[in-house]
Amino acid sequence: MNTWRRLALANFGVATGAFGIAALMAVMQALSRADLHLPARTASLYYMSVTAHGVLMALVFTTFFIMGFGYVVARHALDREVVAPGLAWGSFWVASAGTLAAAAAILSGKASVLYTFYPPLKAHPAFYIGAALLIVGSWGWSAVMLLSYRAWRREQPEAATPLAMHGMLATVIVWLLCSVGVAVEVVVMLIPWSLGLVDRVDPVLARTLFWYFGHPLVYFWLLPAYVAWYAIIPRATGGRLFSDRLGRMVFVLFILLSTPVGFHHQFLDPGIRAGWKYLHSILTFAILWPSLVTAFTVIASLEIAGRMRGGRGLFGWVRTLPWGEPFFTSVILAMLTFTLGGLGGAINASYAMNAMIHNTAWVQGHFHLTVGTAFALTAMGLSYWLLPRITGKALRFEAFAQVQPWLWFGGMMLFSIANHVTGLMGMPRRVYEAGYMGAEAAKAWAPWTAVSATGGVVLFISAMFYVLVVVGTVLWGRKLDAAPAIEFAVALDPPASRTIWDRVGLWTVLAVVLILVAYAVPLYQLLSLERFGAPGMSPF
Amino acid sequence: MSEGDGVGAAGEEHPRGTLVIVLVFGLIMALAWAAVYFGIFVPRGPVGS
Amino acid sequence: MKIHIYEKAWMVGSLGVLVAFAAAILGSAVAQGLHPPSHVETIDPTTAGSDPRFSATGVHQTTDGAEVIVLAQVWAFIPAEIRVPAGKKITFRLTSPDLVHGFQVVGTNVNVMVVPGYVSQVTSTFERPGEYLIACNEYCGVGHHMMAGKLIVEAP
Repeated sequence: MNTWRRLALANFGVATGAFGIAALMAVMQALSRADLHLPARTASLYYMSVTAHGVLMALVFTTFFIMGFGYVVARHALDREVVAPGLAWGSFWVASAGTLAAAAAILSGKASVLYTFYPPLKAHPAFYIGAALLIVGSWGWSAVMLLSYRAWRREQPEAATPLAMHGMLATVIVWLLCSVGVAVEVVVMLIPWSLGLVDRVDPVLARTLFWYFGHPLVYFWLLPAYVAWYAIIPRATGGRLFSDRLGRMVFVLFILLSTPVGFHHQFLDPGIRAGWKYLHSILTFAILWPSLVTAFTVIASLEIAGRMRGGRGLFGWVRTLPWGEPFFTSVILAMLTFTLGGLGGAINASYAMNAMIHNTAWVQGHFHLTVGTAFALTAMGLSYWLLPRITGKALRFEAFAQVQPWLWFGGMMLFSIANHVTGLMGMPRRVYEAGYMGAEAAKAWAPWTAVSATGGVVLFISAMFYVLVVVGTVLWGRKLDAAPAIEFAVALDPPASRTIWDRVGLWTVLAVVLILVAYAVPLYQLLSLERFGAPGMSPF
Repeated sequence: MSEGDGVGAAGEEHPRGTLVIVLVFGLIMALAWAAVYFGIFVPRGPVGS
Repeated sequence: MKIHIYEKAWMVGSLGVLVAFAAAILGSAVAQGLHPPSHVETIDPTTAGSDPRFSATGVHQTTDGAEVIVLAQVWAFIPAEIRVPAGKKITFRLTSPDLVHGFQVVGTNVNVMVVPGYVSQVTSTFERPGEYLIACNEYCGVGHHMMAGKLIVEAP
């Protein structure tokens, strides 16, 4: 089996395993919040499961899936073998080892610090060391992506970068620019502190480094989904990509704007002046724009496909799209859900209005629409499309694959709407239960919590269907005569040669400039304060 | 294929359906934001440092 | 770069909506003083309780309202019950000796992070008399969901 196949399957394998365990954690939470008196139900176990779910879904499932997908794109968009397979495998093992270390710390109850791990909450050192190894592994993957691109570029100095690879390059650049922040936080601050080598850490500095990373992290998740929406779906639906040029521009805008926005997660933090928070708010609105442009381009591409398949009239093209295919339905439902996530995001970004929803249940309602659906449902659908192409086997239990995206969408609507509502009603996030000793405000939340828990159970069923199809296909899929080809979308405006958007080195330099504008002075101001730090504790 | 007017192989000319969809979405986005900002956030009271 | 006229219209229109959002926010920040709490003042968390700024927790009357000194710690607010007059300017000053906590007066826009090593400050006016739940909304260990207080706004 070729290198790229094994690399892709190995990374997808870890991703699917993490997803399955994280889904189990989630249904435990859903049932606990439904107030069902299950054996072993305790606050301690609950907070451990929230940590496990968040870390495995948001940091492990995502990263490994994206790394696997990256190898597929590098091999097929560039039509060259992946370079440095030794580095690629080394990265996989380092990232996997880190994941195991962190997971062991979490599951043994020694790291219930949630996926944001804000100090002065202090976890076992294995948690932080594991996180650092996962990041280092991802850097190795990033190097393989860049080396593969460079080898291709040397052979094709004047060609436009194939759009799918352009999107992966944007993903890698955003990742490298932002992961420096969390690496500094974890390696310079948290590991020494958790080992007892350093007495105190400053929580605002830690939070600032974390959110310097944490917002661009969501674009690390989103951009590969956009690669699927721009560069695969138009072909898979029998249409054309409406605008290659705007697609290229959109990925460049994400390189520029993903990172200088992190304060919108710290609007209510002390120690950071309001003016800088307003700047980050404006830049966050700016980064909403490329997604709005994407909406037009991808929907127009679907309209072309639908009309090519015989659709007539203003909306007749919607009906002729391939609704029977799980990859298509996953992506269409992911796109639809993302529009809701974008609306909520515009509210989250709105400076003082953030106080209305910060740290309430609204937040989990929001990000389950975005990473939890726009990314995750696209990833699940993409794996239905990729598995036969990677393994040469037909999808197994295909009926489950067809139902799974609809279950995900339905369950997510219940979960997300309920949490947006309780969030507006002031219910805190990340709570074992929300009775608040009979407070009046809390009584109003209870019926909505039941809706959220129901959504969680439906999502769990969908998650198990997904795992069943993936495992079933890999182990028992019927061998096909020939693996279907991996083919990328053809645009209405295919570029004849390299465009200004392809000059990613230039855009990276400009991205660094913007990061300095948004962060250099407020970071300097923070570091100039007389700061005391806190010793930390582990009350879990 | 000529550029700029969306003409492709199957004779579709302009993505009219898309335009309607995004304009409706844009309108909803503007109205929903304003409804929440002026209808929920501001009435809950002043806030500052 | 050739862009379809429909897409161009959407790109301009949607940008206009975003600019309108930014303008509305700037307008209300300038005209109504609507800002997220962004106070800059540090303190040693390990001696916060005996620091003169926090040794007297509770409500202290001022000329135009009240100043409320609060300590947030695992897993309680000190004081747990806060009484303030309606319609007056109320300034909360908070810190924590241990972990990051949240202080949210449910049903109002008072929501602020309380971070060890820093003094948070948030000002508001409560027009409606009544009892308000104060919830800690930042995870702070196994007792997080039990960390709560009460704000009682008294009619003049």
